[in-house]
Amino acid sequence: MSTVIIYDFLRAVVRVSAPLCYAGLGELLVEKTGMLNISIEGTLWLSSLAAFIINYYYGNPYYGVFVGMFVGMLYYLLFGLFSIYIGLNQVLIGVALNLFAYGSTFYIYRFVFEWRERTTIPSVKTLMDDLRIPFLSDAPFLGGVLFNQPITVYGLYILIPLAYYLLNKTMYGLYITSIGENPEASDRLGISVFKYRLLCLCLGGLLVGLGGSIFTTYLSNIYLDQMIAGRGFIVIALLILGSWTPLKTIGAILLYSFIEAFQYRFQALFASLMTFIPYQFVLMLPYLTTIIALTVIGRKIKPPAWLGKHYTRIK
Amino acid sequence: MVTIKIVNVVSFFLGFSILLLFTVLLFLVAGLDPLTSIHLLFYYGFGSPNYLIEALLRSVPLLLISLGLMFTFIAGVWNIGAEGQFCIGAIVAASIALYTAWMPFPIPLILATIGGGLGGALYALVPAYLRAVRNINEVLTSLMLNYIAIYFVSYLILGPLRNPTTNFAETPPIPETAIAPRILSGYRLNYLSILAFTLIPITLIVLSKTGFGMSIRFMGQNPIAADFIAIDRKRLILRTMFISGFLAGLAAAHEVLGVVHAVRQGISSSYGYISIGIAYFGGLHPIGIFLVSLLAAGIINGTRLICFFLGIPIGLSDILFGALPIFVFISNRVVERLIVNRLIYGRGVQ
Amino acid sequence: MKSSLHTPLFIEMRGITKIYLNRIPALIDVDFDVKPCEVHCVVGENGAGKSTLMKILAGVLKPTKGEVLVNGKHVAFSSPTDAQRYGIGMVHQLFNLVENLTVVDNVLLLLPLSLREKLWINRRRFAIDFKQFSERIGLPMDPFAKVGSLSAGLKQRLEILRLLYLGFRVLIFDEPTSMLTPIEAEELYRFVRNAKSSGISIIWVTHRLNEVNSICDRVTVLRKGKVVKHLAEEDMQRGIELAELAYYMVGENGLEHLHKVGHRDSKLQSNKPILRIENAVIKDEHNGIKIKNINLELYRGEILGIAGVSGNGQKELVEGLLGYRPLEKGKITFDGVDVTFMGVSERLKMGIAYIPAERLERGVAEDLSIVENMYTYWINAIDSFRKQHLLKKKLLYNTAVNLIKEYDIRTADPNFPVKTLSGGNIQKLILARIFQNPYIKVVIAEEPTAGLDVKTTRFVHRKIIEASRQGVSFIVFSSELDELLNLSDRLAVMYDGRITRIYDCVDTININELSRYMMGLDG
Repeated sequence: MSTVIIYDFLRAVVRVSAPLCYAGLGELLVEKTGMLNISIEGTLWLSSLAAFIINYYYGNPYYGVFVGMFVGMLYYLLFGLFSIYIGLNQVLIGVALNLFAYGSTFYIYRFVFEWRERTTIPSVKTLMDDLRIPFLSDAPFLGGVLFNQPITVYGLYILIPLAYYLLNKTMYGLYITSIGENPEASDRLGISVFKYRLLCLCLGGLLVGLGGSIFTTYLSNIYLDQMIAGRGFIVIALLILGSWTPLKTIGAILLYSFIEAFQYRFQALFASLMTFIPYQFVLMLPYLTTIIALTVIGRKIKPPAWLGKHYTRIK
Repeated sequence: MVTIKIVNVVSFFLGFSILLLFTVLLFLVAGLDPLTSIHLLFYYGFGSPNYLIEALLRSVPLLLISLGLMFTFIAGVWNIGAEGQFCIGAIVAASIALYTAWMPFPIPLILATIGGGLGGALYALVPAYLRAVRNINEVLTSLMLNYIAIYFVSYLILGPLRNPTTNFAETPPIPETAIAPRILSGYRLNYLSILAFTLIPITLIVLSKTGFGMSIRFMGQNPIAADFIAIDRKRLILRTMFISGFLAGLAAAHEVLGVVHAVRQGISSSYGYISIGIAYFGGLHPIGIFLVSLLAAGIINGTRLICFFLGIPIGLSDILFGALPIFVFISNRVVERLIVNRLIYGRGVQ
Repeated sequence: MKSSLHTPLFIEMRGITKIYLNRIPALIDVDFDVKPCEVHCVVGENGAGKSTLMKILAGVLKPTKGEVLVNGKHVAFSSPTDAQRYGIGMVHQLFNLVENLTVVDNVLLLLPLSLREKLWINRRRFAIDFKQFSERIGLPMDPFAKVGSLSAGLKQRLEILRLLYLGFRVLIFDEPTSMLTPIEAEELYRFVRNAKSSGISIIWVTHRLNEVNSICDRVTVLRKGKVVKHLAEEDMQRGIELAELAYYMVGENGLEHLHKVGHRDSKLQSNKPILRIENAVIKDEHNGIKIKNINLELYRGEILGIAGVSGNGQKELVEGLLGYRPLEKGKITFDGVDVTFMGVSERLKMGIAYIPAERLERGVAEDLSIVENMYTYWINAIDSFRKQHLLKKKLLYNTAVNLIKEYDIRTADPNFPVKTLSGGNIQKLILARIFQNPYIKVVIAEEPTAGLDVKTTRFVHRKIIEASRQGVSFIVFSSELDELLNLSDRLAVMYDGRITRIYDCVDTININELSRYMMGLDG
C-alpha cells in the first residue's frame, strides 16, 4: 500500500518538475550570456495560454506545445530587442513585459472564449498521454517512475545531458560563458556577442515556451488565470541556488518539486503536521532559501559577472 | 531647484501617444468603435467630479509608492520590492487597527498608519542591509521578498487573521476608530489621502534643498566617486530604502484604513510594479510623479469601468501599463540621442 | 596567419604621417622598419608618438599618409584582425582576458579550431600542450589557474603566451614593465633576449632608458612625432650612454639642468607629523603584496613628493591612505587618531582630501552640473553643512560661481553638466572645491597636472604652495620629476612597494642618483 503511494508520489514529482526544468534550462542559457530576463514569468503565462487555445481549437496537445514554444521564443526575442538592441534596462523591461503578459493573458483568454456568453469553463479534451517505454519501465521501482511519462519528460532525459555537454564540453559553451563573464573581452577576441546572445534568446525562449505549454497540455485540462503563480520567479531563485550550472539547477528544481508535490499530496494525510507548517510557508521556501543562501555563502555564489549589465559595442 | 528635464516630458508624451494608438488597435481588434471607447475611457477616468475624485483616490497609493521609489532610483538602488513592502505594511496596519480598536479615535488610526509605514520600512531594510553591507544585488533579494511577503500575508488572512463571520480570505473589517474619515461626504477621499498629497512638496524640498537629496543624486550617478566625496554610501542606501519602504507601507495603510477597510487577497494589485514605471515616467520628480500617477489612476479606473460596461475583458490596464514603459523608454532614447545632444550642448552625437 | 608561421617578416613603414581630426599631428613622415630575429626599441617622451606608431602597425589606426609593407608587399590594415592575419600582435595593457575562467579556457577562446575540436574540448590535452609550450618558451604558466587570481605580470605573460601559441611573429610591447615587479621585469627581459632566436621580432616601446641597454638591438628615438635619431646595430654594440639617449629624447641635457629644487629657503619647522603610516603592508587587486613595508610621515604644512615609476605601489598606497583599500598589517594615524579601520568617507570628513588621477571615474559625476559637483562635496565633508537640514542653496551656489571665476573654469553656464568641461577644467573644479574647504588638513594628490597646459599647471602649483603655506599638508604622487622638484619640501622615492630614499629639498639633489633610486639601482 505505502509503496504504491510513494511510487505515485515520485511519478508526480517528475511530472511536476518537467515544466520548471525546461524553463530553468532556457533561462539558464539566457542568463549565462549575461542577460537577466525577469519576464520568464510572463513568458510562461503567455505560452501556457497559447498552448491551451491551440489545444482547444485543434484538439491536439502537441500542436499546442509547438505554438507555445514559438510564443516563448517570440517573447524572449522581444526582450532581447528592447534590452540588447535598443539598450533599455533589462530589469525594467522584464517587469514591464511581465505586466504586459499578465494583462494580455487575462484579456486574450476572456476574449477568445467569450466569457460573457459562457456558462461552463472551457476545457480541453485531449492531453498528452503517458508513453510507457516497454522494457525500461519494467525495471524495479524507478523504472515505472521514470519511463512511464509523457514524451516531454523523455525530452528532458536527452536535454539535460545535452545541456551539460554543450556548456561544459564544447567551445560554444565556453563562448557563451565568456560572453556572460566579460562581453567586452569576448568581443575583442572575435566572439560575436550579438550572434550568441541572439541564439541563446531563441533557444532559451523555445525551452521556456515548452515549459509553459506543459501546464495546459498535460498537467491540467483547464486554464486558470493564476496557473503559473510566480513559478518563473522560483526558477530564477533556483538558478541562483544552482550556481548557474545545469546539473545543480536541475537538482534544485527537483528538490523544490519534491517539496511542492509532497505538500500537495500529503496535506490531507498529515493534516495535523500540516497545521504547523501552512502551505504558504512551503511556497515561500525557495525564496527564503535563496535569500539565506545569498546571505550566508554570498561570496561563493557567483553569477556571470555581467548579469544584467548592459553591453554595447563601442566602435 | 531640481530641474524637470524636457527630454522626459517630450518622450513621455510621445510614448503616451503611441500608447493611445496601441489602445485604438486593441479596441479595433475587440470589435469596438475605438473613438467612443477611448472617449469613454477618459470619461470614466476623469470626466466628472466624482470620477476625478476617484482617480485622485486611486492615485494615492501609486503616488506614495512612486515617491518612495523615486528616492531609491535616484540613488541607484533598485527597489523592486515595493509590492512586498506594501503587503507587509498592509497587514501591520490592519493588525494594529484590530488590536487597538478599544482606544479612542483617532489614536488607533494614527498608530495603524505609522505602524504600516514602519512595517514596510523595516521590511525594506532587509534587502537594504544585504546590499549595503554584503553587496548583494538588491533586485534579486527584493524580488524574492515580494513573494515571501505575499505568501505570508495570504497565510495570515486565511489563518490567524481571518474574518470569522464571512470566512473569506480577508481580515475582519477595520474598526470604526481606525478608519480614516472622509473629507466630503459622498466622496471617498479621506484624510490620509490629503496627507499623501502634502508629501509632494515635502519630497520636493527634501530632494532639492537637503544634503540628502543632493548626495543621493551624486551617488546614483557615480558611486565610486561618491566615496571620494565623503558620501557615506551605506548610510544612504539604508536611508533611501527605509523611506521607500515607509512610503509603500503608508500607501498600504491608506488602502486598508481608508478605502478597502480590510486586507484582502490581492490588495497590492501590482501597485508596486506599476509604480516602478510611474517613478520613471515622472522623471524622478515629485510633480511629474504626481501627474503620471493621477493619469495612471484614471486609466486604471477608466479601463475597469469600460471593461464592465462594454464587455471587454479586464486586464486592459495591465496591458497598457506593460506596454507604456516600453514605448516611453524607446522614445526617451530616441529623443535624447537625436535632439538633446545636438541642440542643447551643441555637440554631435558622440 | 598560417602562412606567416614559418616565414620571417620584414616590415617597413615609410613616410607615416598621422593627424588626428584636424589637430596637432601625432606623427610626421616617420620611417620605421622591423627585421626578423631582432629587438627594436622605440623610445621617446610621453606624447612623442610612440603609441600612435604602434597602433598603426597593429592595425588599430590608419595612417593619414604613408605606407606599410610586409615582405615587400604593400598592405593596408583596416582592423586589428588584418594585422593579426600577418602575425603582428600587440601585447595589450588592458588584457582581453575573462577573469573567472581558467588560463586554458582563455587560450582556447582565441584558438582557431576545427568543428570537431569545437564540439568536444579536450581540455587535458590542450592544458598539457600549453604547459609544455610555456615552459619551452621560458615563461612557465599553470594552465588551470583562474585568471582572476593572477598577478598583473602573469596576466601579461598569458597575453604573450597566447600570441606566441597562435604563431604570431611580431610582438609589440607598449610600456610593458610599467605594471611589473622588478623580478617579473627581469623574467620578461630574459624572455625577450631568448625569443629572438626563434625568429620572432619584438618591438619594445618605452620611456625607461635603462631597458635599452639591456635588450635592444636597435633603437629609434621619436620626439614630437618625428624620428630624431636611429641607432643601428653597430651603434648599439659600441655601447650607449643613457645621457646620450636622453639628449636625443629631450633635445637638451634634460637630466642635468635641475639643481636647485623646492620652493623654500629653509627647513620646515615642525616635528609633529599630521599623518603617519607605519609598517604597512597592502595587497593589490590580484592579491599580490604590493606595499611591502612602508613607513612615512607627513608634517604640517609640508609638501611631500613621491617619485617613482608607476606600478611600484603608488596606487595601493593612495588607496590605503584613503581607506579605499584595507591594510594587511600596519597602522595609519591622522591628527593623533588611529584611522586604520575607518572608511573613506569618515577619513575625508576628518580632513583628508583626494585629487584623483582618474578624474572622471573618481572625481566627478559627469551628468550633474558643475556647481553640484562642488557643493555635494562640501555638504558631505564639512560638518557644519552636514548638520544643516535645509541648505542655503544661494550661498552654496554663489560660492561655487565665484570659484569658477577665480579658477578660470571655462564654461558657458555653471549649470551645465561636468561632461561638457575639458579635462583641465575638470581638474580645476576638483582643486577649487577642495581648497575652498577650510577644514582640509591633508591632500593626497595623484598626477595633479597631468594633461594640463602650462598656464594651468603653474596656477595649480601656485595654489598648492599657497595652501601649504597656510598649513595644509600635501602628498603628491607624480610621474613628472620637474613638478616634484618644484613643489616638494621633501622628496621620497618609491620603488617596489617601499620608500628607498627621502631627500630634503632644501639642499640640492643629484638627479642621476635620484633616477637610480627610481630604477631601484641604489639603496
